[in-house]
Amino acid sequence: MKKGKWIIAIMVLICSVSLFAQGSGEASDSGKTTITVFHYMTQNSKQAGLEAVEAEFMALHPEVEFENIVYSQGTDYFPQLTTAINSGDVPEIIMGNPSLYPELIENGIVMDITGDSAIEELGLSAADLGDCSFQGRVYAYPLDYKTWGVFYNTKVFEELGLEIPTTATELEEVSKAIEAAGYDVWADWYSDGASVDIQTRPIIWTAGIMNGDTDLFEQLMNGTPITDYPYIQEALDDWARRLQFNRPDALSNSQDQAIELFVSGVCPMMYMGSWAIGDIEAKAAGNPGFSYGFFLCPATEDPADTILQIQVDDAFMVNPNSPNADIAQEFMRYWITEGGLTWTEVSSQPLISGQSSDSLPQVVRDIAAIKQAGEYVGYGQYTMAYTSEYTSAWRRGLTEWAENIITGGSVTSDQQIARIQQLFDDIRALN
Amino acid sequence: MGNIDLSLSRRKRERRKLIINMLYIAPALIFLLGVVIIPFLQAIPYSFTNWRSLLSDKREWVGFSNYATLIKNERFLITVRNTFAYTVPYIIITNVIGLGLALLVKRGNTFNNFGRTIFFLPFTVSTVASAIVWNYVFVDIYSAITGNISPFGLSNQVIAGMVVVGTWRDMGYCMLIFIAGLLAIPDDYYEAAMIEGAGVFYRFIHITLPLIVPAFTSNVTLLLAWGLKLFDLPMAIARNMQAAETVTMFVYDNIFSYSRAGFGQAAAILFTIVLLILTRVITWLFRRKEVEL
Repeated sequence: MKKGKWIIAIMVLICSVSLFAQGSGEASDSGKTTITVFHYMTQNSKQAGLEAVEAEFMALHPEVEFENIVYSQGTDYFPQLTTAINSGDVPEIIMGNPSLYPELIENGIVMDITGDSAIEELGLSAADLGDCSFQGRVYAYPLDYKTWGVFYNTKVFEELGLEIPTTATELEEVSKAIEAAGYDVWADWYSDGASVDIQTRPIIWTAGIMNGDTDLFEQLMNGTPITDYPYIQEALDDWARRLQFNRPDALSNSQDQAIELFVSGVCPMMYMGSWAIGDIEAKAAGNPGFSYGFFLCPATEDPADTILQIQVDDAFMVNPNSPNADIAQEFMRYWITEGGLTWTEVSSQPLISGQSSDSLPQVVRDIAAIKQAGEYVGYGQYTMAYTSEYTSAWRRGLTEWAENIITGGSVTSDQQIARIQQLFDDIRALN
Repeated sequence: MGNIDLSLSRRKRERRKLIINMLYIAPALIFLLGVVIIPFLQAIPYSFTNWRSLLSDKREWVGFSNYATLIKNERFLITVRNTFAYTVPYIIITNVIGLGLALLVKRGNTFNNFGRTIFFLPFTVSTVASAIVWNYVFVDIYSAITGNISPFGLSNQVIAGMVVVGTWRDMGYCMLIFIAGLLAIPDDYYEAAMIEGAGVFYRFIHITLPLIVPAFTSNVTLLLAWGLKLFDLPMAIARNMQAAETVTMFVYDNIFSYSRAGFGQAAAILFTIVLLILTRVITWLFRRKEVEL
């Protein structure tokens, strides 16, 4: 009996120690080379697109297999990536625009791919290339781009005899007509920071480029007062005109809930990014009576100000320290060239290369056509992007602004600008 | 001589018993050391450095300056206020409802067993899933009936909304602890009190409550820790709202997103110390009220 107690106690100890030992084990039983893709494409359509391209590549390279790890960019993507890197588990392919993740570059975790032949073949503009660069060097393979604007229910517009608005006042008239017909006007979603941010871009991004303020974000982070750029306040005022027609649940809605409201026909207009086209298509498949179109949001009284704004969306960096870096690089080259068509057809994202397909939704082809005509401003034209902390403060200030307008608050746009300035100043005080 | 032999063999037996006991607690101890205590102790020195990026090894000793900045930092103080604004009502309401449910279903019969399962079910749902469910409840039911905006979208109500979700999720757990406490009370006490003419309310105040204090100790301590560590719920429903930002979010953002690892560590260490002290004080207060059966 006594002997039994000893044996049990020792076995329990061994098991507990082996628990820790198990944690560090990793091996591919198949004997294939595993390429880990660390990304934040939470949309089903994009994940399907990635898997489709991987399947094509694996057919060409049977010795390769993929492991896809996905986290939400707004919450845990970078922390999880940092944890993986610190534990020595650095993935081969890392999603992200280099300017958002300078630490990866400074610590030699991503490859300098300046002059890569596959990227040069794409013939990108300086703006597009700027989005996958940091301090003049290229670090990411760009795949597609995103834009934002108004998705609208074409049947409701036809039924009410509405035209696509070309000025902010016309958009307000359209909103009033929709409201008078008994519809809720906008399907919006402000529980996510990206949604409030894109509402102000029609004015800020375009005015910044047009006024030659390509160092706008850099200057704001360096302490230049926001009031030195009056168009930022104008952007808040413009957004307030649309906010008057929001459903109250916009403040707590998620992107998915907004898409549901739009596709189900409750709200004939939705301000959204092109990244959601795949999800709109998927939800629309269950509602055959629904059809939609897209127009750029007019934010001023001059139709010439309404310009397509684009930002490289899905871009991927390669870890040079991995023994499989060459295969990872080959996969990325494949993805942005031969694999591009598969990607765009499955994910419904417009390719940065301009390549298009007849099987794409009309909206994607329309956006691609505008970009091909060269009538756009790109985020890559700016010298620097907001850091995570400034992005977070900016979005917090905008969320407060949305709540203020929707709940009938008394804060004016200049007061809100002062509030955002305070948030920026607090960051500088800590740095 | 015989006595010395006896004493030696007893000491040997005790030592062997001690070793066996140590081996039994070793798994838990190793786990606790490896996952909690050693990382926590390792983190303390970092809080005295200007370490920025977790990916970099560059850091210099800055003494207590992180702590000094922290206690003057308005954003940190707001997150402390938000965290307590959530935790206090969450502990009280969850315990009150948990106790009410326990009294309702403490007797074991088919109906009550079904009730226990139903009430406990939310505890098995992840916090993020709970947040999604309640977002729909607030928008599609609460807003539709009252015409009011969902509390998740309003700065002055978002904490109350989170308390509702936290209570809904954890009341079943509290109920189970209270049921265990209630069932441990001998019926004799109630029978004697009834003979003396004590009513339901009197019996509850003077018999039930004092005898279930250990259950309160357990529930309050646990809910205090869960409340103060609140993270995933506000992350899921109000990532951009300062009124919903908690201390753990502040720590997380500074360490991971804002490249202020040393500063974030200081916030984490400071708050852990607060948590330990509060837990100790509350446990001590409740232990004083505990009654031996």
